[in-house]
Amino acid sequence: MVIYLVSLGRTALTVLAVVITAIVVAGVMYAAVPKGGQTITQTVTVTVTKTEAVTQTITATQVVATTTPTQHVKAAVIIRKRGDLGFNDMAWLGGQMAVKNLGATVEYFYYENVPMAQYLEFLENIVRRGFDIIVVVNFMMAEQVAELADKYPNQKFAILDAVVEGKPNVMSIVFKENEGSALVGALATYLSKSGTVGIVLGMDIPPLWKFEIGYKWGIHYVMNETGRKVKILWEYVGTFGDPNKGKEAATLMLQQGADIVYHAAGETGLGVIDAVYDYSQKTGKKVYAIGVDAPQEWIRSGYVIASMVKHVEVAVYKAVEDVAKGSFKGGVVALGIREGGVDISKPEDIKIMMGIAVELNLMSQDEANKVYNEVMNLRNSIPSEVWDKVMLLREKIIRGEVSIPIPTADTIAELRQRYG
Amino acid sequence: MIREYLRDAATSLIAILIGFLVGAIILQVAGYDPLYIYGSLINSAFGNYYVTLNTLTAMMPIMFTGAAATLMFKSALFFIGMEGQLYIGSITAFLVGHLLQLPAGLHAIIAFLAGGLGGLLWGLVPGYLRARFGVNETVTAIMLNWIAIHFTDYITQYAFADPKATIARTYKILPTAVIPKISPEVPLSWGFVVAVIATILTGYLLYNTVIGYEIRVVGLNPHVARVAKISIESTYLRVFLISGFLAGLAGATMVLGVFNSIVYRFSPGYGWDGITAALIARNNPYMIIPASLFLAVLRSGSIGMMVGAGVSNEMILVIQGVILISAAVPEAYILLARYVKARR
Repeated sequence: MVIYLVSLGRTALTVLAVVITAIVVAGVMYAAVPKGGQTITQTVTVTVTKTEAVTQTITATQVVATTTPTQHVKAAVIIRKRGDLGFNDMAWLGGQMAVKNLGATVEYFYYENVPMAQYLEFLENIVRRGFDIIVVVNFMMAEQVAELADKYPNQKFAILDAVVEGKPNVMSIVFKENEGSALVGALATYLSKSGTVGIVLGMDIPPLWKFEIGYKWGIHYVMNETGRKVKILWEYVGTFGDPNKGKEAATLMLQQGADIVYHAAGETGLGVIDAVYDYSQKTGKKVYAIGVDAPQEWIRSGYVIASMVKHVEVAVYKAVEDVAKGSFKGGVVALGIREGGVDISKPEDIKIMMGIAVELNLMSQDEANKVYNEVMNLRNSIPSEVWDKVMLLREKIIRGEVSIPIPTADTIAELRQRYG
Repeated sequence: MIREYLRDAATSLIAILIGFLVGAIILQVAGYDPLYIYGSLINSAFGNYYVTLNTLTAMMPIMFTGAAATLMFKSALFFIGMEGQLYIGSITAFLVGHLLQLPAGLHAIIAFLAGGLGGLLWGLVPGYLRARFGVNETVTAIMLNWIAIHFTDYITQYAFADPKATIARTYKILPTAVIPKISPEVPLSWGFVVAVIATILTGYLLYNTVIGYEIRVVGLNPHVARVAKISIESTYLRVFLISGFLAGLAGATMVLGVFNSIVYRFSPGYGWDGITAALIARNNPYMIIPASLFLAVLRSGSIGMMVGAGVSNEMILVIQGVILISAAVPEAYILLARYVKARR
C-alpha cells in the first residue's frame, strides 16, 4: 500500500494528502459550524427587533430625553464576549440603545481570545480603524488606553471601572457601588429572620471596600431605624476566580446563623449562590443570596432575592451620548443611583436578561419564562412595606439627604470600627 | 547547489499555496468570503507602515527560535524546548534589566546576553542528559517547557508583579536596559537587526566552520562521524548550548525591545513557530528569514483580521493550522519516502 502510494510520485501524493485533509476538515467544519456560521446574520436582525421593546423600557425609566441636536457617532464597544448574561451583555445593550436613540453606528469587538500581551496591538488596530469614541469595558486595559491616549490625542476613549487620570481624551466611568450596596444591605436587614447577615468579598483592595462599607452602612441605617440589633459576618477570601473558596466562606456564614449572604467577588461569588442553594436543600432552612454587578437572580432562581446591579449599559450609552452632543469631557465620572449607574435589581432587569438568553439560544422561551416566574414569586413574597422602606432609602440617597461614606486607605480602619 | 535551493524554495512555496487553498475551502464552508479574509490578512500585515513594522516585530523572535531549531534538526536532534528557553531567557534578561544599574547601552547589551545565557543554561540540562546518557531530548523538552512557562507565570503574577499594572506583568526594566527603537515613533527595535545577523551567523557557522561541518556530519550519520573521530557527545552538547543561547535571545528581545517587562504568557508560541520555520526553510538557516516572515504575517495579521474582518480568533487558528500542516507536508513526504526506501 505504502509502496504503491510512493510510486504515485511526490506531487500526486501531496495533492492526495491535501484533498483528504480538506475533505475531513470540511466535513468536521460542516458538522460543527452551520449553527454558528449561518445564524450569525439572523441573530443580529432578530436581536435588534426584539431588543426594541427592551430599550424602550430602559429609555423610559433611565434615559432623560433631550432636545439638544446630536451628531452621528461611530462608536466601538470592546467587551469580552456575548452571552454571559451579565456585565458584557449589558454593555452590548448600551451600544444598542445608542443605535436606537442616537442613530449611532456601533461596532463590537470581543477581547476574549486576545492575550494580554496583545491588548495594545488589539486596541491600536481598533483606533486605526477610525471611531469617534472607543468604549472599553475592561478595566485591565487601563494601561494601554493611557498609552494610546497620549499617542492619539484626537481619539476619544471611555473606560469603565478604571481610572485613567490626566488625559483630556479619556473619560473614566466608575460606579458608586457603596450606594447600591447600602440598598441591598438595608433589604437584607429588613428580611433577616435570624438577625445575622453576611457578605463574602474578593480581594481586600480599595474598590471592594466600597461594597463592604456600603453594605454595612445600609445595615446600620435599618438598625438605627428599627432599633433591632443585627450581626454582620464578613470575609475577604482573597480571590475573584475561585468559586470553591466563595462556597466555603458562605457555608461557614450560613452555619453561623446568617440567612442572607451578599457577595462582591466576581466568579468566587458564584460559589456563594451555590452554597445558599445547597444549604437550603440540605437543611430545609430558607436562606438567600444577594447578587452583584448584573441581575443574578436567574442563576439560582428562587434563591437569589435581589442584586446590586451596575448599569453598564447606562455608562456605555452615556459615553456615546456625550460625544453625540459634543459634551464629551475627559476625567472621572462617578455614576450613582441618581445617575442610573447603580441600583437594586428591578423586574425589568431580569426580563431583559431572559430576553437576551432566549435570543442567544442559551435558554428556551419556556425555561426563561419559568425562571422569570420563580424570580417574581420570590420577589412578591417580600412584604410590600419592606420594598417601600428600601425605596424610601433609595429616594433619600437620590435627593442627597443621606450620604454613604466612600472608604479610603486613611478612613477604612475607622469605618470598620464604626460599622463592625 | 543553487538549483537545490531553488527546488527547496519552490516546494515550500507550493506547499504554502496549497495550504491557503485548503484554508479557502474551509472558510467558504464556514460561510466567510475567502478572498476578503485573505485580503484582510495581507492588509493587516502590510497594509500600512505601522502594521508592517508590527509584522517585523513578530518576525524578530521567530528568527531566533528558527535558527535555534535549525541547528537542532541539522544534527538530527528533535528538540522542541525553544518555548521554555525563550521564557527563561526573558526572565534572566528581565532580572539584569531590572535589578542591575549600569550605563545606558552597556546595560542593554549585558541584559540581552544574559537572556541568551538563560536559554543556554536551560538547554544545558537536556543537552547533558542527551549527550551523556542518551536521554530522549523530546521528552525532557516537553517537561522543561512547562516548568519554564509556569515559573514565568509565578514571576509575572507574584514574585515581580507590578502592583500598579492593570494586566499581569512584572515591573518595567530600567530605561538604560531598553533596546532602542529604530526610530522614535516606530515600534520596531534594533533587536530585529540583531536577529537577522544572528540568523546569518548561524548559516555561516553551519556551512563555513569546522563546528558546523561536524554538526552536519553527526546529523547525517553518527556512525560515519564516529569513524571520522568526531565526538558525538561534545557536538550534541555544543548544539544544545548554541541553540539554547539563540532561543534565550528570542525572549530577551521581546522583554528589552517590545514590552519592557515580562507580560503574562507574552509568547503566542514563538518557540513552536521556530520549529515550523525550520520545517518550511528545510533546515536552511538563510531561508529562516523568509520563513519567519511568513509565520509573522500569520501571527501579526490575526489581530488585524479579528478587528478588521470580524473573523473569530478560533477560525484564524484553524486556517493557520491548515496552512502550517501543508507547509510541512513535503518534509513529511520526504521522510516517508526515505523510510520506505530504507525498508526496500
